[in-house]
Amino acid sequence: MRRPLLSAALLGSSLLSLSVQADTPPENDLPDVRFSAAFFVDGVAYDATKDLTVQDSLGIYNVHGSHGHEGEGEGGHSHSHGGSLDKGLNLNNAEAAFGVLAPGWLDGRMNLSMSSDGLELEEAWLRTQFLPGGLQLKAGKMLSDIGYLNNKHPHAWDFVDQALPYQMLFAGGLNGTGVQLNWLAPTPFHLRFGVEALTGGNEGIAASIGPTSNDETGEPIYFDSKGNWPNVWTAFAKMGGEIAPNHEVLGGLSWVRSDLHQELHEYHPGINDATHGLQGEASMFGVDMLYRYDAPGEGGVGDFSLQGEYWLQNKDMSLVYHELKPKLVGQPRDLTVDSAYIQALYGIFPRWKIGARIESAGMTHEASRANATFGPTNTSTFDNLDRISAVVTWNISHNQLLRFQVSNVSGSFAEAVAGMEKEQAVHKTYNEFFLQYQISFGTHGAHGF
Amino acid sequence: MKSNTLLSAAAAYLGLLLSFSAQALDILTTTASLGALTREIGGDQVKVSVMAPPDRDPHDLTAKPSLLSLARSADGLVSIGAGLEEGWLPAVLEQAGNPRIQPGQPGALIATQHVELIKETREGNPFFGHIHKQGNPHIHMDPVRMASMATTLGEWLAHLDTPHAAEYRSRAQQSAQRLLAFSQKASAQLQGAPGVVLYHEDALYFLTRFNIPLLGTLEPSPGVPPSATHLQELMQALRGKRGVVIRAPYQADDGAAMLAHELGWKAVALPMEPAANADLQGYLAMLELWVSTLAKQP
Repeated sequence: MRRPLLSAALLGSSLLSLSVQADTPPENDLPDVRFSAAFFVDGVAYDATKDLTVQDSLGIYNVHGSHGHEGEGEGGHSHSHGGSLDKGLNLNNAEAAFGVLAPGWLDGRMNLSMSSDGLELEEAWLRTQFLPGGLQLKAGKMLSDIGYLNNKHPHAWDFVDQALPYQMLFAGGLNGTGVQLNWLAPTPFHLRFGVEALTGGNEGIAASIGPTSNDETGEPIYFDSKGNWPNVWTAFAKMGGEIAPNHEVLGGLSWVRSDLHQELHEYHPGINDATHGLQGEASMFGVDMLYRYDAPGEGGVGDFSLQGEYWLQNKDMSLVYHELKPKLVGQPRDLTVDSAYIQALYGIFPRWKIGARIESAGMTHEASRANATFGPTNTSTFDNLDRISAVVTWNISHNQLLRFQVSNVSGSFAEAVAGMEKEQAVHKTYNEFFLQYQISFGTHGAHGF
Repeated sequence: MKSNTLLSAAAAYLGLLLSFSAQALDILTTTASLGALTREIGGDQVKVSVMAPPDRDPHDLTAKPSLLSLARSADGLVSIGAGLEEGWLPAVLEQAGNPRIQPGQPGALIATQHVELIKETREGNPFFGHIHKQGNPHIHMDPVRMASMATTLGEWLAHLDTPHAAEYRSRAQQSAQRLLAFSQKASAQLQGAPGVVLYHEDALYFLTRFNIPLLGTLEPSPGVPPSATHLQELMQALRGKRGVVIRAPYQADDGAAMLAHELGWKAVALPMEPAANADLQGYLAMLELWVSTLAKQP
């Protein structure tokens, strides 16, 4: 009966009796327009053996840190929590989530997040529920559906902090205003395709500085202005399904392209010899994999999940400004960097979960000066940024959790050279300790997979 | 010659379309009991898929990718409603891109909207527990309510697939009769059965139907795991009485075993759902296990 209307239309009225009846059944269950509201509050006690964060680490993925970067991406910053905690007690995040569902018509969501950075509209979108054939169109401000973790809000994370590829390459995650078209294929296994066109100033791949000037000398720096038309394009495919009862897998491929990305690297003696500006395009390619077993045990005992993502970022840019060597303007700079994480979680007691996560950024770490008359392809002299974490989560009840996490971070960080007005890159290691309490009130849309 | 080839191609195409039209109705049910009933009434005209594995707690599923794909292509969806599936079914439907089975559409049937529910009398707590405000959703444990559901399902299928309406109605009537006959026989067998302590109020309809007293639940409040204080209270209140402790296989056994041991009772694990591919016979066999277990208790 799946295609009765099609066949009836093609074969004419003689076969109309085969079609699904359009008559209203006698007892039609009333469609309710449902509104939901939920509030999440999340506090973290934080301590660390050094006053460093992953964002301070040196490398070409770092556009915030010691290199200096004054770009303000409009709407680009999105829930990059976990990297900006102070030692002591933190109100990590307070989030309000509102949902509306008119079955057969539309659903929508709005998420407001309040942190030490202020109030932020994270999401506000509407999605069609009336298109047939597995098609959905979504419009508004949204977290992109690329990768696995990108669209997860902090209250749905398995660790206190966000995974390294999102922290370092996406500056907290890809979020923008625009449209998404999504198609679920009529296959016996799960197959889904999506494309998105977003405007957004993601700091990692679509940072927008615009015309500015050198702070020290006042010289103009000719960065292009960004319009408000979509400048970030994505495409993704997800495939998966049940490989055996209660064993589910999901794999995804994602591609992201940013038409305009700008970086201003400021003079930083010992680390960066001259203030220079880069402008160009950025693209990212990601692979994600997830396996999840739902055990029969009560309270999630025996549940197991294994997941990982790999992201490769390429920034195809050229110099628009160089303080010391203006002749270099126009010379290409091709930056390639990657990041990955893999994590496993296991339900050890009812409502108790233990987990581990291994992450790295900068395994590939190349700054290539292709076509330049001098200067070979450089592999960055900075070390990988590595992080290993262990976590224990206790779901006290359905709306409260307590989580303890220990992380060990190692990478290249800037350190002052004794007696000189400059810094050098030094390999440093430090440990972080998190104790998180999270509580939610109200009902909100059920979580996806 | 050329027109002949075209004609035969067109004929083959028509044949293909016809075979699609004759394809079975693709019906999705959230639980295995609803699946069993739908399978029985639908017969060969209906292909039934069950979303919630019968050996897992139906409150606690996630919107798995495989469920999205099932929902994407279904012609109809039968759910329990009253909040049972609220943690995962809306998330499945929101992402499935199939308007035909959304609530309010002809392809959606919500069982608890068609039978009378036992109202929840206990009070919730904002920090713990989970109260279903519309009433207890576990209607599938009552064969009489399922008999009424059989008639509803028959009518619903008849409207989704009018050419086979008579068959659906007739099989629905037969199913309803079998369920009522089972209920009558079970009533006789369960005369004088002892009271029951359940883990969760998921067999409340069964107990109510056969006048078996519910002596308590191991959960202090729905969705809240048993606590030592609550178990102590149960022991105090039930000492010297006769009864049996029953839990589902996916519910923790330590509280049940401890209470039964203290009271000198038996603790039994009984299935709450038949196999995912069961028909009415399989559903009745599941209920029969409850009847025989309770009937032979001292």
